[in-house]
Amino acid sequence: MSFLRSLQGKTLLFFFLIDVATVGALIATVSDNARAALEEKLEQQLQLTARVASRDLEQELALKWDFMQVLAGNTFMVNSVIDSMGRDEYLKPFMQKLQLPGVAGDQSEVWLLDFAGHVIARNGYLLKHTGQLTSFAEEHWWRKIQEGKPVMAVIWRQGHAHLLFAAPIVYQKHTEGAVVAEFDAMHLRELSAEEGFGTTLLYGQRPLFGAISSEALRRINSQGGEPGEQPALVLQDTIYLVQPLEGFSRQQGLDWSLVLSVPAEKLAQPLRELRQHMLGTGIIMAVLFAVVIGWGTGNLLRPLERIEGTMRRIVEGGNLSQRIQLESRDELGSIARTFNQMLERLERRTAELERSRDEVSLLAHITSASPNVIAMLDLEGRVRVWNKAAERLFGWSQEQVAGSPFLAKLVPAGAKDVLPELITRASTSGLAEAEVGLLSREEGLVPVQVLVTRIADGASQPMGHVFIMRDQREVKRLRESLVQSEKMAAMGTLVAGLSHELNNPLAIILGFAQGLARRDTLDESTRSAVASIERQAQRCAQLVRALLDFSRKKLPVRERVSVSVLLERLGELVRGQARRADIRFELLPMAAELPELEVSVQEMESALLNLITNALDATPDGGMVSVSAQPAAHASGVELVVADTGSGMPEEVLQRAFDPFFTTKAVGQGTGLGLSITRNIVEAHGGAIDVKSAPGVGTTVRLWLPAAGAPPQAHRMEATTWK
Amino acid sequence: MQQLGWVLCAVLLWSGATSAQDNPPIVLALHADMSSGSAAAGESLRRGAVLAIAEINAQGGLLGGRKLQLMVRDHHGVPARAEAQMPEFVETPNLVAILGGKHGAPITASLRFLHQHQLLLLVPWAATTEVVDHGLTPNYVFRVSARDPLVSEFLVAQAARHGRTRLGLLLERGGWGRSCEKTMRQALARRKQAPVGVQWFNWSDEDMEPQLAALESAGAQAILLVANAPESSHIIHAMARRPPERRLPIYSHWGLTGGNFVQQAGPSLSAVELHVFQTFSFLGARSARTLAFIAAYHQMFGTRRPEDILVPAGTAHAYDAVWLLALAIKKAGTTDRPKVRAALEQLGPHEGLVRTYSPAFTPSRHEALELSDYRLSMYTPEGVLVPSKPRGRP
Repeated sequence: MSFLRSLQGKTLLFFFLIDVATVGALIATVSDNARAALEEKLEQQLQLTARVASRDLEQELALKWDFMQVLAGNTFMVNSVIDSMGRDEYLKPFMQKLQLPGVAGDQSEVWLLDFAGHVIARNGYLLKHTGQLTSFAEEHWWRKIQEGKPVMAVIWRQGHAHLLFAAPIVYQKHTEGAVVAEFDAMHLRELSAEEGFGTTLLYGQRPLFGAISSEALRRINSQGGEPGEQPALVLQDTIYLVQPLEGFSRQQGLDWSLVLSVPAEKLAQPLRELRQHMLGTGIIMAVLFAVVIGWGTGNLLRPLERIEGTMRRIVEGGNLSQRIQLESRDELGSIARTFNQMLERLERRTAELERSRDEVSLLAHITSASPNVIAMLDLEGRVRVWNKAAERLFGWSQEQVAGSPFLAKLVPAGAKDVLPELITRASTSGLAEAEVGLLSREEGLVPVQVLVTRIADGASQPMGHVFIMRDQREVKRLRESLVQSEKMAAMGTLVAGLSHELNNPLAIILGFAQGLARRDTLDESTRSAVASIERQAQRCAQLVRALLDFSRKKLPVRERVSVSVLLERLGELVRGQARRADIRFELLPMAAELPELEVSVQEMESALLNLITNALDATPDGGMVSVSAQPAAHASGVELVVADTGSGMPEEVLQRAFDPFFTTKAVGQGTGLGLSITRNIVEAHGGAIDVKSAPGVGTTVRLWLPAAGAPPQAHRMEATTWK
Repeated sequence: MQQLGWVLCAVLLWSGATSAQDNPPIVLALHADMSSGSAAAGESLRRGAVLAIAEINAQGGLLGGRKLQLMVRDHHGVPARAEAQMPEFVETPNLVAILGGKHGAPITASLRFLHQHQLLLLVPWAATTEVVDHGLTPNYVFRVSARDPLVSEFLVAQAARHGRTRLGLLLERGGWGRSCEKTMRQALARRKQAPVGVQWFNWSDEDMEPQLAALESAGAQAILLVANAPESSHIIHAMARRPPERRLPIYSHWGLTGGNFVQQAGPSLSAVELHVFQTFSFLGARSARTLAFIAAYHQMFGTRRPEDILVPAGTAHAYDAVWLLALAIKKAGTTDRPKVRAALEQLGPHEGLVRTYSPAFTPSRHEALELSDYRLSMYTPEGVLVPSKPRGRP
């Protein structure tokens, strides 16, 4: 069915219907014409056949008749009639051979009669062999013979018509005998026998040969037997043509008519065959049409299919780079070329549109992603653009502000003129900027940097104003932080220099202290004092080194080390401290497959020790500090966790935990450099560090270190993910 | 036929005037071709018979005044017709005899019937041998006419007298022709000869050229012809159409004289040397009986000259035959045919026209004429048949 819905199917169906209609019309008209022509032809053939047959018939009759006349006039026959005493000798052989000429002559009977009508001889026999028929004297026609007149008569014998020719044998004007011939009229039928025709020879109303229905006979008789060509008579399923015999038989006074009949089927059969042939031809033509049209439409539609396929691919795939590959120079080729040109133009337009859309989208993204508020108000003050930053900053959604003169809601009381003033300035100068305070729905008054720009359309007609607003709160905080950082940097530089300057006196102090300590002369108090000097000097030196390490970026010496070894050694260092503080320190079991680390062991121990120490310091008695190590989840490396059940840190502390010199410890108990140095060490090893803490719960510090030979990037990402 | 009927009626009326129930006429039948190719012969027979009957009746009739009455039946010379008519003769009361001629075949065809019914037949004209020599006894046939063996002998002799010994036979295809073939061959055989050729023709044949050419090519010096008038006239025409030097002389039986031969032959007749067998001629008659006959003939038939008498031989033969029959009836004293037949064999001398019969018949001889009665005749340019003098005779 889908085929029939196609153009090719419809074309085929159309031409098939045309063919069927044409063949039907042809069959109807041709068969009608053919019937008329056939009827005329058949009638002509009937008339011709009838004329020929009647002529042949009459010629045959005339031939036999003339023969009989000649025979009767032959002196041999005259002599034979008269010479009754000696004729056997010569008459017998003659009679044995005697027969009528023409059709069925050998089946005719010929008699030689004497003056009284008695049979002298019959062909083949003499009198003594003539059988029952010995005299024609009683025949009705005999009197005519006696009068010297030849006779042609129809004799009925056992239902069969026999034709009788009798000719008097005259000698000296007296009929001395006669020759009589008789034959079955049925033999004449072969003269008029024509293939496909029935022939009947009518004598009045009685057929001499052939058969004819009584109804046909009645109609024929009512038609009359006038000379000349007769119209055909159609009766029931038979066509009749009556041809009166006008020659010999009419001369003999015989009302004979030859009736030719032909079954109407003879007319219908050629028509039927014609219809069948036309139907067959029509079917063949339909098939040929279908093939040709199918081929033609296929050729015609193939470019269309290409066009359609190209269109479909364009529609389905949206790929405007498709082109119709059609080299035809006809209309379809022109269509294809035009279509290709259209595609090219459309592609360009689409590309331009895409670019425009991208630009619009980009602008939308930019607008949407902008951390600054971007809003546009038309000339009536209605909001047309309201980006996400505006929604976040002011707490009003796009839907809530769209199409309304909403900006007034943002202006706090007492500053109503701020924005109109800016708009006015922007309208006149194109750009106006000011830092104002605007009302956020949830956060109240927010300092905002506002930049107002007037925008116009392509015709330079003003469309409205664009407001770009920046939340100034973070800027203020950064500004403050920058001041602090700059101050810390200056402090660092100062510390470095100071540390360097302190190192030498400390070395001297330590040297002298150690020298003093090695003196045996020292008393205990002195010694203790010296020892205290040495310890404090050592602590100062250590503090100085730490300050130098913080300020000086030196590359650590790295070596491959097992995590478990590293942590076990650290455990040894801190267990005593934990025990003293009545804190449970646990080194949790480690996975056997922990990769080795390639680190500066001293720095890493320092970093970890710093973390553990901080944990122990923050953990009250009875608390617990645990250290665990496990393979990094997403990369080749090790995740180390130092967790405590200490006091935890509030958010503001936590945010500054890694700041240098930031400490919550009492003055003199911490430098504020521990976590800062730790982070520097870890990051210097390509690792990462982060901390989670909740006040009253505890703090967990995680750090990731790359396995030996692994790149460091993944750990930083992992650290970010953990946050 | 109308003329014949008129004559018959006249005879009947003439004789009927004297007839009575107790004196019935004696019927004599003439059975001949009265209307066909030899109608002249039939008519001549009738005239001769009528004249004889007239004389006899004029003399008081026979058997105590019973008149002779003539009934005529025409058989066209066709045997079948003759046979068909025979029963009527049997059934005809007081019929005493039949005069039959000139064709032999009708007679021979009827011989058995004649014999069976004791029909007495007098033959004034028919030369066929078997007419008399038929082997039936008693023989009811008496002939006052020529006889083919003698005619054949005569014609062969006449031709020989003319120096024509290489003879061809030209015969009608019939009983008469076959009879003559036989007798002519016999006549020639007696002279150690045979016909150089025998040609046949059919009744009614008109083209005789082939037969003449055949006989000529066979070397015939002359032709012995056996034919009736119609066919003979065509032979004469055919012969006349030939160059004179190739025209063969013809010695003919008398059959051609029995019809309308002279008129049919026309001018050709004088172009051909035609000798015709005859037995009698009124020309040059001197006897009182003959002259009286001629006179009576003229009176009855309106003729004026002897040359006008139709077919002299037939007329004379019939006349003589009726007289011989009358004599026999007288002699027998009855019309009973067997007795009359016997009386005919017992007749005494009688002077007839043809000859004086002394007697005409005997029990062993039913032939009234003999060879000496035969003569040869020729047609004059006027068509009159006149006796010809033998060549070399002064």
